[in-house]
Amino acid sequence: MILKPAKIHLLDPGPLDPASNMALDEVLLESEGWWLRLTRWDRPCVTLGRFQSWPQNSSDESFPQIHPFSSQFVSATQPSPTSSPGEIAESLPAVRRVTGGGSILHGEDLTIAIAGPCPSPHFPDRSPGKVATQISKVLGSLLSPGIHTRGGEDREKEMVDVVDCFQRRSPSDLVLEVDGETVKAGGLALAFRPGRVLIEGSLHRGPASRPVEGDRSWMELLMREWLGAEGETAEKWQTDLTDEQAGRVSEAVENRFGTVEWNRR
Amino acid sequence: MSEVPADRFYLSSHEWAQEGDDGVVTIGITEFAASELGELVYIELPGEGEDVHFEQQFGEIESVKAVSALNSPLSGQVIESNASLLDSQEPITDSPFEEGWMLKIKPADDSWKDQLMTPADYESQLNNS
Repeated sequence: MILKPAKIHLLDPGPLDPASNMALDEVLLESEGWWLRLTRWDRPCVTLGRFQSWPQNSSDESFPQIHPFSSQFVSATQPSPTSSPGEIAESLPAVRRVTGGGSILHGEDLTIAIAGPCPSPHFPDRSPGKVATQISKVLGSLLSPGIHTRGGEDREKEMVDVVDCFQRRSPSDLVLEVDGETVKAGGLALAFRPGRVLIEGSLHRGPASRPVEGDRSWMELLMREWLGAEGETAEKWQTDLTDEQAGRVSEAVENRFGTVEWNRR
Repeated sequence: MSEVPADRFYLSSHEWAQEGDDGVVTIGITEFAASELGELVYIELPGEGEDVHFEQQFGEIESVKAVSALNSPLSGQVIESNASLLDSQEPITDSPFEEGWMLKIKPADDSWKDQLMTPADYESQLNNS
């Protein structure tokens, strides 16, 4: 049975700074209708899970995990031995998400966001585990052959201290078998608000074999195959934020996503 | 079938509210909500003296890589927050109606119950979902 949602928006606003990208995802979470978004970055950056702790200082062993290019960045921009760990951490491009999970390095991945009503015909159950596994199976079926949902038991508690999302194991992971080993090809993180869900996804381009120029076609496939949208129900790609969206993003960046208090907790 | 205690009121988003003898209202999430969330790893609650508002978010809880909003079943002022949940969220799963309570609230007015579901109504919602 194909379930047809009333309104689907396809959004590709182009490269944005890290704080604006995460603010926009929250705006979509709080908007009406379905949103399928391509997230592009104006610089490499790291996103942190909603409750992840930022290392207290750069000698913390989790620091390079939470920010894989920190040492390179620090040596290039902070040669002074007098720079304090706080000053170094302050200058790193990292932003906190509203979704859970671990830290993710962005820049060369395929980053997507899906926001829509939940519960709804497409997500009848608000259970985070069920929603994550459901969308993982949908995404897996539309990626390269061999990519599938990991499945198995939830081991969330064991994963809390693993900083890097791609080192964590979750039933909803998208995985690929390479030389007898299971490699994580994509991870998902979610946020629920009353009546809505936001799913942020990061897919490795290597295993996923998705060229950048094919991103829109892939999202349109997702829209047709999963949301059941026909040509006439789909809007054209929106490439510029509306004035209202831009205003809400700016406000969210100023008040939260662009602040030290939000990002360095 | 999830337990639905008869001595409290409910919000459709699966939070409960129970009035004490002193008029203070204790709130938390239901057994159904706790089981749906899965293994919990983080929670954020407001502190003493903060205001909460009916059907507005008062905190957040993380499970299975998902952060879910917690909604207040009434308006009022927080007089106590269950700080032990910050260290361990297991009481929310193991004892959602007792040890897993989240906030104690001084209601903003006496009519707060009028806006909530009775146990029978909430049970009916669970049966129809």
